[in-house]
Amino acid sequence: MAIDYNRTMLPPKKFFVRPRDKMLHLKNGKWENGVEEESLVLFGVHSCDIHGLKILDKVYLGEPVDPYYKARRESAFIVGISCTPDEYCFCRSLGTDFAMDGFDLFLHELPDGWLVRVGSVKGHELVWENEELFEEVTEEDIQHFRECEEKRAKSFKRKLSKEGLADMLDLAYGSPVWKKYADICLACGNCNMVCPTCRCYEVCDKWINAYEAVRERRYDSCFMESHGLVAGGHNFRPTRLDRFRHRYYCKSYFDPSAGFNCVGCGRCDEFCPAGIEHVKVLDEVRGSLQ
Amino acid sequence: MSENPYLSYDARILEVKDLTPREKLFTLRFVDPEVGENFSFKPGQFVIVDVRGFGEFPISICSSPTRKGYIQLCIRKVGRMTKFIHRMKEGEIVGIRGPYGNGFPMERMEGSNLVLVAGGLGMAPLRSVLWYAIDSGKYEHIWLFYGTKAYEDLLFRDEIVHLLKHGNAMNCSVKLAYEIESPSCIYLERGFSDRVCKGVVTDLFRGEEFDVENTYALICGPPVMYKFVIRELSNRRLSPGRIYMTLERRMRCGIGKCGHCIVGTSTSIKYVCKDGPVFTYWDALSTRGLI
Repeated sequence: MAIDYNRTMLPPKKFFVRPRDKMLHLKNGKWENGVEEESLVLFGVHSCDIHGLKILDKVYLGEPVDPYYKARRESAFIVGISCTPDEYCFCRSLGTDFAMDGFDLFLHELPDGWLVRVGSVKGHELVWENEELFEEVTEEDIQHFRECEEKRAKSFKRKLSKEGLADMLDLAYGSPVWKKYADICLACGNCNMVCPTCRCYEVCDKWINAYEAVRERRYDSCFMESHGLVAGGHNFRPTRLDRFRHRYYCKSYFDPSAGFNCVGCGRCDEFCPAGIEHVKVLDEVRGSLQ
Repeated sequence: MSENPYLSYDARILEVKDLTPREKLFTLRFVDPEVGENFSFKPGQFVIVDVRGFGEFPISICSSPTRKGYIQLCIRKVGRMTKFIHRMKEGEIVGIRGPYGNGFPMERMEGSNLVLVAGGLGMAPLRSVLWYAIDSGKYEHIWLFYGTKAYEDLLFRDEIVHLLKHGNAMNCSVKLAYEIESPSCIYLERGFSDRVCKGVVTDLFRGEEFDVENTYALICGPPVMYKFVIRELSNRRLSPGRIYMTLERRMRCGIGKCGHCIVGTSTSIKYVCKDGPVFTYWDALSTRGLI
């Protein structure tokens, strides 16, 4: 088990909104609910991904509640783990490098063991049931924890400047930087697939035999030409430039109730085949305005 | 099971009427009377039609909530799903979920003039407003400016021609613009030379005066139409808060989850399905990309 991993390719959203997700099952002309109850333990989730799930919560648990997401979220037990940033991480500049809630237990690595934070009633009960595995925190542990956190804070190489970002981006709608990067972009949609907060889905009915069909939802990507297409052939985002800019605007929107839509996990940078870097694009757009 | 917002309710097709070669009017009633009674909607809201095993699509309701017991959907045959439903017959069952969206603020507009500006299929949601306004009698005067390609594309032809003839008694003035000439248009134009003309919908504003302090404009049409109509209204100094438009986007869920209808930039993001589909012109000025 690698507990010192940098990042997974797919974020934990895949357990709650699956890449292919069965919603409904058609039998004898009637829909039946496709929700399957299964409990899940996610071990070793990084704080950026916990923040990512909290953003998905705002969308899927907001009224009307998505029953599939809710059932899976409620049955999941989440154990967070501390991490060391690599060259792609910029979570610290977005305030998502530390999770205050959204987990059941959070493990922080110390030189002589693990400091465990309890984040929920379920987590508390688990600790109670396994008392023999835990000891009280000492002053020395706290000191070590602090040192580790300070050392970690200093090791971030990337930073997204959030100050005035929303207004600046809006003013730079016509910036030539968008065009420059839209021309490099391959429009493959990788960044959407690996993003912990991208959640667009397409719905599709599929016959599994002559009598039964399923309604499935699948990840969709705003880089696909079909994303803004409506019946009759009108496309609301007809060019790659429109679609490229749309993703940056969607990620850079600060929702007063859900916060910033990007958590700084660095996945879109690491898995971009064209080598486009999120922070660099935004910095250049900002620069083009001055 | 009933908590699942993605599940649709059975509705029976009571009547299918050809409006034009491309558009059909479907009259539907919920099979479960209790569902029908609980289904209350406002003009401008939409439903998602669920053809089970084939897919779903959003369609605005084109009947008025004042006419109870049924809902009507005007559906143009443009794609795979609409082609499918066009083959359905009276008595068959489709799924309906909704209503979704905000709808037009009918209460706020009470006592004012309404200027309805429709282009092509944009007549469908505005028909709901039109009959709501006429039936309730709570509005000062109603103008309907309706532009179509040709007489053959005129939706709800009987009703529109009836209002053209007898609208005054209902405080309603209807004006029509068409782009392609045909004998029927010329016949209409001869009878109502002041109200039917060849041209585009903005030509119909000519010669009309309305008190901008006491008027609301409601617009629905193809995407290209909005800016021309808004320019016409703005020239008359109608406030951006008094111009309502209902917009179209790709929608899969109708409840703000699937992400397709997100519009805007870093300063303002709107979901057309749940924040709209009715927006004011002020919303369009403050959220880039709405129109």
